[in-house]
Amino acid sequence: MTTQTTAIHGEKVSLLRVLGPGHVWALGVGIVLVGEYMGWNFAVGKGGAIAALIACWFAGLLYTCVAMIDSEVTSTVAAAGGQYAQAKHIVGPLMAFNVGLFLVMAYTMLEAGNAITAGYLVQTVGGMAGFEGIWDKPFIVLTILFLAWLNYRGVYATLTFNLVITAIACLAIVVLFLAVRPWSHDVLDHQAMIDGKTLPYGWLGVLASMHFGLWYYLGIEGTTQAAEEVRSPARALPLGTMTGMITLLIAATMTWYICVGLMPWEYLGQAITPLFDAARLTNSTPLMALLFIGTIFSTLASANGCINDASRAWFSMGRDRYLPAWFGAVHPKYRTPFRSIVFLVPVALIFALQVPLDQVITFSILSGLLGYTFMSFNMIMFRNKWPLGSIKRGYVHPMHPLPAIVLLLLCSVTYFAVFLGYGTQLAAMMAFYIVASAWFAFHRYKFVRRGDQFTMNWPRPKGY
Amino acid sequence: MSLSIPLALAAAGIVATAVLALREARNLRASRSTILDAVTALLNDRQLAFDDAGFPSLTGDHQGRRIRLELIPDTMTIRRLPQLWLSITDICDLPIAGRGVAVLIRPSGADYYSLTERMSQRLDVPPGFPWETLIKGESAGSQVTLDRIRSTAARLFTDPRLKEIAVTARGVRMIRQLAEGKRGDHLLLRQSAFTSAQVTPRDVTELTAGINDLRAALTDNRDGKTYAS
Repeated sequence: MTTQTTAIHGEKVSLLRVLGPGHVWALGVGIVLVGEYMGWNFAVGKGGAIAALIACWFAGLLYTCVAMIDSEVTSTVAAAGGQYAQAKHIVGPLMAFNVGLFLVMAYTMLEAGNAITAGYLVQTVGGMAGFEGIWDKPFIVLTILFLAWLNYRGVYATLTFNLVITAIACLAIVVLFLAVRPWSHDVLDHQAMIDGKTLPYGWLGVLASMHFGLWYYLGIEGTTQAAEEVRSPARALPLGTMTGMITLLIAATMTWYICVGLMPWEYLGQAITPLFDAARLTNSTPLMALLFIGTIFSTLASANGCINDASRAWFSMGRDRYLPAWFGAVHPKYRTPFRSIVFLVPVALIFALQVPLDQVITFSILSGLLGYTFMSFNMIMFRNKWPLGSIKRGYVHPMHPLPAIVLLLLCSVTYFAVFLGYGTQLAAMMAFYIVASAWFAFHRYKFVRRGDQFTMNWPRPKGY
Repeated sequence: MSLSIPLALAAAGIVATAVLALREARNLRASRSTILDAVTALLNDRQLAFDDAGFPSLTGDHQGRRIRLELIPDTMTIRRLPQLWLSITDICDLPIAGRGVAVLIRPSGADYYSLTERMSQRLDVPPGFPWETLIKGESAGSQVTLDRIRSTAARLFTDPRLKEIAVTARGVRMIRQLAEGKRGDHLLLRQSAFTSAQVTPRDVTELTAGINDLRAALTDNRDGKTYAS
């Protein structure tokens, strides 16, 4: 380990582990790995195989804008607390309340999606092994309860050694790619699988695919925000995130290439575990075992992170009195937001047990999408209120306001894409946030300690 | 297709994973238990205790003062790496009942260990402090306490690892960053891995010197009156 000066919110601190762009890249890819194992393939169902690939690349452009914008705000000050803290300081309490809800819903729905996938996989493998009566629901419940218990225990519990297994989950995709010999047609047959239907629903299908195209990358912005260790935010954050994006684009294309060459697009478009199914089609037991491990551990690691982050966001809202202060309690022994963790368990269970995977993923994507839409407005407000030079910035993203405008445009396209296939869910989600906002504005806001909202002593914004 | 061999391997994997997890938990507790080892001998009449996660706390006499060293693992702020804070408290009676003050740097709103949580009066940040500072007092009278320690506290906060200074009728407390969770462990699995965290005699020397300076600032009668009056 090298000791060297590092930054804490722009201040200098020594004796911390050095972290360069390479680390940020590797970890950024690790965070969103689960997106390769499940969920992305619903884009194939929306518009066909080619449409899913186009959507994947356009979604990459959306996340490039996200990464650029987030790197600037994060490298400035509001790293700890993420977009929730940014909304408090840059926009206001109602926006912060909504952003907090976006985070909680996105993570809780993703947790439910992960549990569904893990349960389904156990059921499938059990069936293959002759245990026909095996049922996925108990495994879904078990997964959520076990991970909630780990989070409840906090630093008491440990999963550190699983880092190695998560790395195996990364490698599993590469091994599968090489195993299907992509340079030949021995195993893969794209022509037959696409069956002449290059764009079965035309360009409208491409638009519709944007919805699930986001799934490949959902969460990559987290790379820019695990603050307080990065050696040089100005260099490591944007560079690390951007190289992570490129890697994900390559990995996503590899995943797409394998699956589209092995499965008819009609089947792939509704598969729960596309990579595991691809491994099954190779008739190789070791590959199946490898992809089974990859799927299980990527979903479990993702679900574990989701419980952690959703409960912290809920806890923060309780601390700020956006929600009853009761949720802001810390366990006296375990030092965890135990009430928030417990409260969110039945929410995750209801969705995991009652709602199909594609709809659960849609709810998660919609909440994430609302967060990205906020980021585009947030960036413009941030630059207007605190112009360059008025506040210390570790990184200034280029071509402002173009990334914010492109982001807003792509978000709008994605809303339309969601509307095309999941209009009811879109309306339900919007109604939920409108009702929640009304509750906050007309009832809850009077409990908020307004003076305590601004934990960072920023200079007065321009024009105020 | 028979999957008996893979299933047997999976079962073996689960057992191996459980064994590894238990072993790692034991190792982790063992490594945490030694964090204060290097400074134990500095304290006389000492009491060493461990919480259930294996983090030690130490109370004892140091240079004629009763001090307490505690470790606070903090994973409550989203989008920030886990922190391990070292808290040092000079347990003493100070004549400032109802006029305590706490100064917290880089508050996130989730700083559950901070005394600012329990204080109601927000005080203005004086010049010379880091710009991300939250100061709270027990009453309007806390401003007097803040004025007393202002220059000393501002100087101490030039150490960016220092998180909080709190002065109450029950003593003086400083909280400083001891370690930060490994990024990979946190990002992938939300784990708090504070590898090689150690409290050194130098840490204790620096922090107790800071506390001595704060106490001296409180009892300084350069303006012709004692602070208690």
